[in-house]
Amino acid sequence: MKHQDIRFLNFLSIRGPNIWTYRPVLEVWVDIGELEECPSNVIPGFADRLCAWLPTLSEHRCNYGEPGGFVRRLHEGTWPGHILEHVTLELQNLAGMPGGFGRARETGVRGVYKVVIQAWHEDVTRACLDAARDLVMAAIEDKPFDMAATYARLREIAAKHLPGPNTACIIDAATSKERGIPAIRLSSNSLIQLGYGSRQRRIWAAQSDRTSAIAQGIARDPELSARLLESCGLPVVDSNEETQEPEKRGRYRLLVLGGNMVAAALMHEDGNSTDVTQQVHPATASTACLAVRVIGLDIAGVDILADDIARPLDAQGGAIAGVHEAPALVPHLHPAIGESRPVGQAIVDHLFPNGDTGRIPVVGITGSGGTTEVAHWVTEFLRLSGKFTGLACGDGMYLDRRKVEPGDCGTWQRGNQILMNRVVEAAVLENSAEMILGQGLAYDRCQVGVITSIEPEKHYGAYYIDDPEHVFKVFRTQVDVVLPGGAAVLHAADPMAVEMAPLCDGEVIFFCADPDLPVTAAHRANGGRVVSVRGGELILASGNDESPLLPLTEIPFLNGDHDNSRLNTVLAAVSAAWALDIPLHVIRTGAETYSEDSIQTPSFDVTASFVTINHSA
Amino acid sequence: MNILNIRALRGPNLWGLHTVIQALVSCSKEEIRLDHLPGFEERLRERFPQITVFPSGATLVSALELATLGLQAQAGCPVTFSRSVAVPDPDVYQVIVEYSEEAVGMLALELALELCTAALDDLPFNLTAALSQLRELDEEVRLGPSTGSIVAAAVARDIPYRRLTEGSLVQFGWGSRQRRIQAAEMGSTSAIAESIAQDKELTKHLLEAAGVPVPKGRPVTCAEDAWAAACEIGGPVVIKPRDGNQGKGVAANIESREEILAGYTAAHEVSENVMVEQYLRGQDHRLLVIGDRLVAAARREPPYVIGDGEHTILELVDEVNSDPRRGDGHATSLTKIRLDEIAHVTLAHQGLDTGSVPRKGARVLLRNNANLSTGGTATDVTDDVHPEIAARAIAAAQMVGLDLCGVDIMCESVLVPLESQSGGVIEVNAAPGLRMHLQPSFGKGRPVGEAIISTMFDERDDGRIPLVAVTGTNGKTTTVRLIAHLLGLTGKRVGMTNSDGVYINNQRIDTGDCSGPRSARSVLFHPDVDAAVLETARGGILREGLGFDRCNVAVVTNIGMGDHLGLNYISTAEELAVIKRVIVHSVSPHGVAVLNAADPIVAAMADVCPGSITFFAHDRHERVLANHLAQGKRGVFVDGDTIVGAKGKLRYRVPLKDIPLTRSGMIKFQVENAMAAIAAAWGLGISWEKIRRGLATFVSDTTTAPGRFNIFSHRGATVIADYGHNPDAIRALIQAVESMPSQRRFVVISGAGDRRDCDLRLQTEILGEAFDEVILYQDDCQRGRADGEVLALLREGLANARRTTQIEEIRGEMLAIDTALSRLQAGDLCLILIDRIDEALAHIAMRNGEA
Repeated sequence: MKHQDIRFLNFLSIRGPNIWTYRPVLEVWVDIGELEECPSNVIPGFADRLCAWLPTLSEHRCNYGEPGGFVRRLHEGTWPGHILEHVTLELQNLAGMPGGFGRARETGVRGVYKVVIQAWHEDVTRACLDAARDLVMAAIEDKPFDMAATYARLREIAAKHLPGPNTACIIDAATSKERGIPAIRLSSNSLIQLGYGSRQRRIWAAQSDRTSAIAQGIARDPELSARLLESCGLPVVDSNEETQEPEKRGRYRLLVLGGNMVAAALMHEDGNSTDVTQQVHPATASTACLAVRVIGLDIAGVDILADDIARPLDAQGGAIAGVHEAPALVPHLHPAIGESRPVGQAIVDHLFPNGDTGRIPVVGITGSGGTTEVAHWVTEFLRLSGKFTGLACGDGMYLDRRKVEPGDCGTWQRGNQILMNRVVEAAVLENSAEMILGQGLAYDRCQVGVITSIEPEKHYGAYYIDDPEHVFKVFRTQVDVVLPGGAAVLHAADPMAVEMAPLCDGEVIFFCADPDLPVTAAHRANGGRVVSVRGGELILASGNDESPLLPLTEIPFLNGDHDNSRLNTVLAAVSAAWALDIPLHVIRTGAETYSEDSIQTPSFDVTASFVTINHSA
Repeated sequence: MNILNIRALRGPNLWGLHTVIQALVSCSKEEIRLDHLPGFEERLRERFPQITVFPSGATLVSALELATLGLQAQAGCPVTFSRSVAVPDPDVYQVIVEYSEEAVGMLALELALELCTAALDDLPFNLTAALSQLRELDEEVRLGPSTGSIVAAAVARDIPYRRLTEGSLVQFGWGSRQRRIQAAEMGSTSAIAESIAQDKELTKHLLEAAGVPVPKGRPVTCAEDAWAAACEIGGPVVIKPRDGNQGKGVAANIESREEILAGYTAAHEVSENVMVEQYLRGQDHRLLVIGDRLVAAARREPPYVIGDGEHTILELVDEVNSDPRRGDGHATSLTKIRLDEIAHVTLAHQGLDTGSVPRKGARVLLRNNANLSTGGTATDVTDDVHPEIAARAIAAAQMVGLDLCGVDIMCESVLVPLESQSGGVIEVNAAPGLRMHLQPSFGKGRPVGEAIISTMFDERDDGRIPLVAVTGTNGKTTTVRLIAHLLGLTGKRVGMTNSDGVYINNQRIDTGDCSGPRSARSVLFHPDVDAAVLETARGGILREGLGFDRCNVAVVTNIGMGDHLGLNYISTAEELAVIKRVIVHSVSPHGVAVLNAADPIVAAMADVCPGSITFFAHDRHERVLANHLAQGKRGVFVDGDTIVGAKGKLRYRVPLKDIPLTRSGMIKFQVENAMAAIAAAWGLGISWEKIRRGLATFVSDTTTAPGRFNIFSHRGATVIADYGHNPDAIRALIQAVESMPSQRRFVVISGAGDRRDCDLRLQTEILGEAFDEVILYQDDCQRGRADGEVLALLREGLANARRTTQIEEIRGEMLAIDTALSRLQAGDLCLILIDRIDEALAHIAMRNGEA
């Protein structure tokens, strides 16, 4: 007897770019059993009940592209997986996470769907998904549902897990299209990493990693702050004066970043604010900046009491009432009166000046085989070029030459760890098809994306993957995330890989043992780059130019017999190295010296062996 | 014997470079001589046997002095200097005693007086109590060992420091070059990184990502969950509060269910959030990482006693605690072992209590954690640390983001990598204690203060900014302004103090007489100051000493007959010179003193200068200058219509006509000021091209130099307003006035009540030779004089005047100005010696506008 409810078979917490979208998602496999027989239009009153509980569903466009589209689908008839998607998204919306990506797709198994929901935070999305199932089932079965209690609970969960408004506005500004700085959440509170590896900066609400602990201590000691400010000739509110009778002057909050005032607001008693950024007298702005320098902060809010912020302070007895580290940004972002100021953007510009994206070279390697070898090769080239390189691949995690962790480390978590490391100057991350399907990529975008080879049938079975189109979707993920200015490295003899070439935002470098394929010829005719073999030599071709790098006989890894998979490994790795602008003499040396033994440097632990000898003696 | 007044001289002062307590003491003639006080010295020595041998001619006052010094020294303060001197007042003496901590010095003086009184009256004096009172106070107020070691390292590098609070916040260096520390925390230490270090779970998460071995484990929600976590980990575990410090609430190496439940309860009392972690075998090691270097490492052992088969644990602990190195707090190299709750539990765990008598050789632990603050010991192992362990410690510090941190590692031995012995990092500490590295219980101390300072300041950086101190009787303010102007042309943001206020980068941030040490310290604290020019008047030096330890250039414009004589027991120009030369004494060995060769008292200051000398004088044949030049040293003089800077055969020339301040050399005292400023700029290494440009562009008017020879034209007459108020200044003004054409000359003058009678009379005596009409005025402020007294003295000075034909007395400065202005006709000249500078200048300008 088949069940008549919505069952969750499996949850995939996909934390990076994936086959659905660039964003993290929660993918749930849903079995609707006999409900497959009950599209929404055959359940009397279903659509009305659902819309009564969630009136805002009327905004959903669905594939009609206009508000009301989804409600139309409900009346025309749609299935619970699809309804679940929309209801979950709407619950996320009501919990404070507007918009977002959603999908519901059939699988090859009757009644089983993949429902995919953009996940700002796994726990929140999971809670919304659970609530959505109960709500849809209540609507199907015409049972009561406590909508108010559900809202309250979801909002509470969201408030606990999602970054506060200060942090959120900085993350949004960093990850915006204009800046394209990656963000990683480091802890359950608001500690955020912007950028990768050695180029990263950290923020904690509106506090940067350069906010001095000593300065923070001074700012939190009003008496000491006042004394230091006064000694630099700054007007300071007498603490006694402040507690007497209600303050008639206005309380202004000036936001100072890296020595400049970027926003100012008049604070109202009810907690609202009026933007006054344009009105601040230049002398007052420089007073605020000096105050911040005296305390020693890089980001600070300066509170000023004055009758009129447009006039100099000394003319009106205005004074500084405090300097705050980690100032609230909301008064500037959402003033009740006046313009919103892009302070998140200003903080990001302060942390990453001159358009810096905080990125290190990241090389992603995927494909149906040979990926671990290519990862080691590319890592060796990067190391030789002088970069402290992190590698997470199928046989372990490596920091420079040290194997930190054995076993399969081609996972989201290990990749994430490499990118979190403040010493890492370049990262090489291997991504299997299973990893892309089940976990997502560890990086948002990469400098170089390599696909070694594609053998679709190898991947059939798991994750409901059962045709070449699915496999295409999996591997294109790697090509989609290549940065403009980066490169996809693709095998020219692989038709599916060739088909992916136009999807790349950066350039494409083809590799292939055969130097004269029509694909490579056409690519070169357009000025493209190709790595191949001619006359027993590894060649680098760029448009019409073609130059030999070294004879294959000088590559010990190929061991004399130029079996195709080993050769392809070398060609793919050299392509990646070339894409990374590693000098050719370094690439040549790498190819001449690489051996599988050099992957793991034996630890010449003199002391250890000495101790051992000592013990055995 | 009574103490009349006490002050602390906190910088270089009259008595030398030490910080000293200076007390004014009255002592009657009957009491003063020890030979009139039979048995006094014996009684004093009975009460304080360690007091030093008295010099011949010692008095009761010297007994007080030596007792103050001796008490501090016996309490452990590093002090050696003391003096006592008689002052002109009968039966009054000054006692000067060095201090290392002001509060301790003050208390020592108080106790010394008590001691002397006790010895006089044959009353008891409790020396032990006095010394422990001093020691306790000293421990309380002086810098702790960690901060102290960093400050000592800075001092050794000649980096100036200043405590910003009574706590451990210290400023190193000056102005824009300053850095701060607070205990073992640098100004660059990130607040976020400290928050991360406080969060043990997050720290572990980050260290794992960096491949640094850490113990397995997780946070737990309740006692049962703690037990569950312990079962998951397997083997012995540690239970600890997530945000604790100094080992509070930590239970280590526990395995049984009861222990774990109890451990959870104890940890939960300290913090809501409790962690259960794998217990790593071995010993606790602390690795100190500064920047990307491992600087020191210590193995730390929990407190323990070793049984002798005779004594109880209580007795053995007392025995260990009798070690003088063990104190009650952080100040000594070790801390006493406490027999508290944790110790009892730890003993119980071993089947013991404080009454047990452990067998001979048995090692009895008194707690499991090895913090020094709970009685543990530290052994230096810096040289033993395996490079792979050092690399992990550095990686841990970098991952957390701390530039100065203590990495706690648990392992059997630091000789082999952590990975080969299942050791791991258990904690990363911000602001780590340094005393275990400075004075380990066993092994070598490590120069960690030096390592910290060298991260903050490059090898050649002493954190100092160019500092010019200027003093003298007249011309100080103009010279200060001119030097500041020249320095400003080099692109530096100049902080300047003078008798009008404090200026930062040409903006006045304080008003009034700012020529004292407080204003100097403000300038040196200001973050926007790249160079400082500080007017340094006698008042501040007497009151508190200098506001800086050392200067690059000291300028003494002149002493002449002096000013303010009679105040503070300074009655001659020579005595005044002793005070003013303190700045010359403070010149750095690579610095320069700029001295007026024409003023013998100033020229003589060369003897106390640790650096080199540049003399200046109008006349190159001035003996001192000529000799100096002959030796190939620097001098500045006037050659015809040009100021010349000379050294050996080098000659740098600045035509007087290109120095508007001097009115083409007509105003002689401004020529002197210009020479002093040129010499100072030369001493600072400012290029002659910039010096010339600066002199040409220096404007001296009511805005830039209020009260300094401000010239107005009033209905065809010339009016000059100046703040000059001593005989030398007046002579210089007359010299300048005589070079200006005039029909009749008027002068408006008052006198300050605190000047001596003779000085007041002398001012008008001089004026009477050069002015036709004299208008005397008196204002409200008479500084202790009766109404009309000053006017009478001024009038007396005019008794034999050769030129003055008319004298008038006016009440009120503005009225006097009006009176003079109303009488002026075209071609006349009027010198107004103003008192309230800003008000008077505004008044003259207003009348000028009306005319």
